[in-house]
Amino acid sequence: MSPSRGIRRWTTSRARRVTSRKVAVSLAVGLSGLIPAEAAAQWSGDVALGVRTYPREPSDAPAAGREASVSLRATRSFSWSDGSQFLTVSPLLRLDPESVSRSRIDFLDLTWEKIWTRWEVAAGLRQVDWGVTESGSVVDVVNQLDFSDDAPSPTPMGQPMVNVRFFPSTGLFEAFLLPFFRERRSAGRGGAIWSPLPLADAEFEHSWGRHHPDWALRWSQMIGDFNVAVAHFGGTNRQPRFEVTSDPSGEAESLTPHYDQIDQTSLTAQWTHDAWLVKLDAVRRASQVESFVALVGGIEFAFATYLSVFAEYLYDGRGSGATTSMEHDVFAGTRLLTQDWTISSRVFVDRRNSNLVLSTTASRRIGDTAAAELDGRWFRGDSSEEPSRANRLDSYLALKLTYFF
Amino acid sequence: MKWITAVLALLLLHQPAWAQDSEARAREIIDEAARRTAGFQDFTANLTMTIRDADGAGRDHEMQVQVLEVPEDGQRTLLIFDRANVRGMMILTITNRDGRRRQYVYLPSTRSTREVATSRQSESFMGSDFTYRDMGAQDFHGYTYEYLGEETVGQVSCHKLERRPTDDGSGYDHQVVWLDTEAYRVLRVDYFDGANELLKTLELDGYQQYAGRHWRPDRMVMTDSRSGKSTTLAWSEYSFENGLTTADFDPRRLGRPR
Repeated sequence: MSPSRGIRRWTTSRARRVTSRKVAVSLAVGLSGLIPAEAAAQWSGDVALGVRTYPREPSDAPAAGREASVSLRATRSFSWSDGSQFLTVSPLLRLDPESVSRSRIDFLDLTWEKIWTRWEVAAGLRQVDWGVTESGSVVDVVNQLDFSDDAPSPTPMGQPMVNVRFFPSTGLFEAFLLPFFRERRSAGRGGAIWSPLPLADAEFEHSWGRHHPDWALRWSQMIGDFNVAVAHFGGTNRQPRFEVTSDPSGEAESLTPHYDQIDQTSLTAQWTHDAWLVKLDAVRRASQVESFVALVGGIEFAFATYLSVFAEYLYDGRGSGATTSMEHDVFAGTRLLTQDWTISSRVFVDRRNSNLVLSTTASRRIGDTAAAELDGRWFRGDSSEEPSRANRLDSYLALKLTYFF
Repeated sequence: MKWITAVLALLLLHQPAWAQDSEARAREIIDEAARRTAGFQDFTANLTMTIRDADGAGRDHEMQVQVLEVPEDGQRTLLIFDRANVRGMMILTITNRDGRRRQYVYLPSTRSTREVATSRQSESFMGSDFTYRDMGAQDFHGYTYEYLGEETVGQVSCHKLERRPTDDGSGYDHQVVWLDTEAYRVLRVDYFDGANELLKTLELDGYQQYAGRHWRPDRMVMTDSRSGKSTTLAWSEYSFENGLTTADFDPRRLGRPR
């Protein structure tokens, strides 16, 4: 593909990849100095081989009809001082034989933690999971997402952080310091930005760029049948905003991802009563360019431990200006778990234009140590109605074989 | 006619001596059995659950079980899964005094704990022949008992009792329980439906005493009488009074090493 017209895969520049790898390696070397000789436990994890095919060839979509990758994930914990200090190391290796930019060496988790009776502190690279709804992740603002991974939805990437937690008798207070911003990864067809314009380097609103120290505070509490959490995040938005840059003659030249500074306040609530769950994830985000409310609300009903159904509503106050295609969607899903199978099905329907995205994942275990998973997504509707940078228009079918150790 | 009504009333309301005795005797035995299984503070054990179909073909689930008795406030149970593809996943169940339960699932990959819908007590535990209620440590509350006499089970002299659950959600009409006369350990339970048909049979053996006081079985086998399927729970590495506290069973802090 020619770099000036057509789609260019979005890659992080070589210099930045080297820097982020240096950070990860220094963290690993530094933290390993903390492990005393008698630390125990084994490696566990999985090796997976995945292939994905895209049957459609719309005119403005990237050409790759098939993608494959091999991944290795492992995790090991070391604990000492009678369990009051521990280190978790979870490396990840993904290789796409045809694309260096889809490959990555990373840590899903590389954290040292120390726990006291009422306090805990953690430092390193890790993921946090705040949302309670099934369909969306409006509330998960801390971790960057990797759209080029071989998975039905974008996978979170480890975020460097220092996290302090305080446990009074009920409730939990947390403070996060989040240095080192990670840019969004969207190499490959799964993450491609659908635009004929080439992509320029990222720009940051704050002059410190990716070294701006972001922070977050969170309070969570169980009140009767409710689990409630309120959080506030201040710093660089993980979600980029795209701007078209023009050349001197006024013609559109390239697409530039902008990472703005945001203040985001979120509320998460779940009401649990026997087989019913009612959930809400709501955020209010304010930045230099926009200020809006987005929320996901829904219910879950468990017919039995092995069958759950979900129904949710997704709302984004920006309406058609939203940077995701889920601004006015209705979501329904089911999950079935049996001895050998896990089958889940999800459908999003856009209330404005009736576009529909249906995805299904069926996974079967093979013996005690392996599994095979078939995963597909089908889009029906008018793709011109979706924001041009949405990647969910692409129907695909994928097969993944995993061996667990 | 009034005197007939009065006599009838007296007969019906005043239970014959033998019936009262059988309930009282049963209550005595059950109270002693409950007294002996309580007071364990906490225990941990390894559990391998094997689910076999009628042909004998089996599936294993390996997990670690940790149980905490919370004085005056019920019990907390933590299941830590060990089989490769779910390693490190945990299910925490908090039961309080009035039987109200909350369940949480912890996923090690994201370190996140979610509260989940509580399974009904009558539902099968992980597709096995044990229901959630059956999995609870031999639970003597929530039934009315009647003493049926003495009987031997495998050469061991036992007290035989019939019991009926006081709540409707258990899935059984009544059960027959055999407790050995020496140490009041449950050796066998037969489960019946309303038509007095045998639904399932539970056999417990390999009892060993731990910490000088607590008797626990090495094996529990539940057989479904109608389908021929069975589930075996093989317990090992029991360890009592480990000094566990509610902090080890706190849904906010499940990420600590165990």
